Amino acid sequence: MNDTTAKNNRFAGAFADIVSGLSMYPVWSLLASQSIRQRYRRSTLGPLWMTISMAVQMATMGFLVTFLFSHSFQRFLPYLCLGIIFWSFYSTLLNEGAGTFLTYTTYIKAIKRPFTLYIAAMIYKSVLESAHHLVIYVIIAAVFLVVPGKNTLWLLFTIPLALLNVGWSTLFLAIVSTRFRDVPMIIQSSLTVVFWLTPIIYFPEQLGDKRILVDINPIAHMIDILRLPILNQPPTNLNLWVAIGMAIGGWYVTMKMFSRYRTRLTLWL
Amino acid sequence: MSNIIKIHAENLNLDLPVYGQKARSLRHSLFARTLKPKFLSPKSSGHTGGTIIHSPDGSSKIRALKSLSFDFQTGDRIGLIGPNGAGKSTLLLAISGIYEPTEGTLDVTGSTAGLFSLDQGMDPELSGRENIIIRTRFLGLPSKDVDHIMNDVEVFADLGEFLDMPIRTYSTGMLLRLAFAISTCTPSDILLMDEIVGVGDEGFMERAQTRLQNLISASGIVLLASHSEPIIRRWCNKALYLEKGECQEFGDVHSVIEAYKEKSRRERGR
Repeated sequence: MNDTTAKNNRFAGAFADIVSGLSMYPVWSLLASQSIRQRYRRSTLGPLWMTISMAVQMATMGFLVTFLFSHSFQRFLPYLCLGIIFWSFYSTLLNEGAGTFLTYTTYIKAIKRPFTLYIAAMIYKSVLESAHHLVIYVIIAAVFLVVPGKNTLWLLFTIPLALLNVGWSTLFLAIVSTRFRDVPMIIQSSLTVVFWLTPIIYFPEQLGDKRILVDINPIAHMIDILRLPILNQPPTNLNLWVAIGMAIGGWYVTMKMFSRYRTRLTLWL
Repeated sequence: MSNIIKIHAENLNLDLPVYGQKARSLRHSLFARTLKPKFLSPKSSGHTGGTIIHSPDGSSKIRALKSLSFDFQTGDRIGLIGPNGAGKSTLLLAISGIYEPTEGTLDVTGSTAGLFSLDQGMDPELSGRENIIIRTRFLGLPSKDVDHIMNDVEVFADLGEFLDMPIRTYSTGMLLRLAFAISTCTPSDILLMDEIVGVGDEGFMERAQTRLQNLISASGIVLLASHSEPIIRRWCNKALYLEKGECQEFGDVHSVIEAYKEKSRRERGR
């Protein structure tokens, strides 16, 4: 077997892993809902705790920041609410997603199944959590009469785009973190810095000529492609190009890595 | 089962990487490239364990399986014997597809089911019942079968109210009952078992043997790794004697066991 065919085989193996992993919806949906249920098992409110703790966080931040920056409540609160929800979606996935294969070691070492299955479970879990959080936004939107409009239709394009990006980044980080165990710690500490460079508790305009600080932050764009359409504004061209570029570049690099190291992942656990 | 069931291996090598604390760190790996790693020459390590290979870049690996070639066919009940670290468990994991061979070929035709260790494949925080449901999903069983399997496992494992408790509260014996019941609930073409028979109380062992007997007759090929001579003699018709990942003897169960005992006697005599 020469080099090219070996390479093609490895790519085919990685590709088949993704296709068959995604098709196992009954497994990854169960793993995801099970892990949410488990966390809130011994509490009376159950998963509603997620919604409540998020609401408390938002109320505190909302009042404090509105007062500090003298924003208008009506404009700021829906913006803050969505910012926090999507920040929590992405940052949870970067943090927990990095440990995907370590979390599911018990299954990986017991039964041969596609690795993508576990990535899908992790992403689906974050989607379910965000759905619980979005309840708060619906209430806020109702109070401040923020209605969706035709720009909201952008979501039909931007939600798949966001999922494509979390797909490769979760897979990429999960592979790297399985081999190098300090990566989750590195991610965690970097994210606390990135939070301040993400327009969540302030508007990007407020940065004036320092706006470049948020324009070079990929998470800021990833939040905007979801937040703007819900607020009935179109995502900017820069938002879209960064997100599309990341999806293409990210998947290219991730597929190369996944093809090369897929068969070794179990040995690293 | 009319399909052909077989396992074919040719020059199968399998290396397991070994990482120290430093090799596990990205920071260290990125910034420590300039440091000269210690180069250790290969040492013989008695007759347990695989061959440890130290490469010049500081990483080491264990050659857990070394140039293995064999053909197993329908009807083969193979006992895997050999000292600790001979590669018995690694071979089972390789056949199940969990470990992929480093070099050589390994073709497995047929579905596999395995019971490798008691703590794998189950979430300690979940109840026995939830673990059963997750397993049936992993196996891709239709939901109409799940009730049936649940009943079967419930009756067989006989855990009573413990079935609804998190399995971290189970004793080893209870865990064995559940793990054994779950992994034997559906027949498959190839059955792989690692050192599991022999734990558990007598009443359970009796029922386990009947169940195991049924399962073994329903499977095309059975591989059973064990240190227990009576178990191997009872369940197997062939045996594969491994040492340091290499095949020492393969053939009729009784003659291979004799060869293994002879070899161990000589080792001890020295």
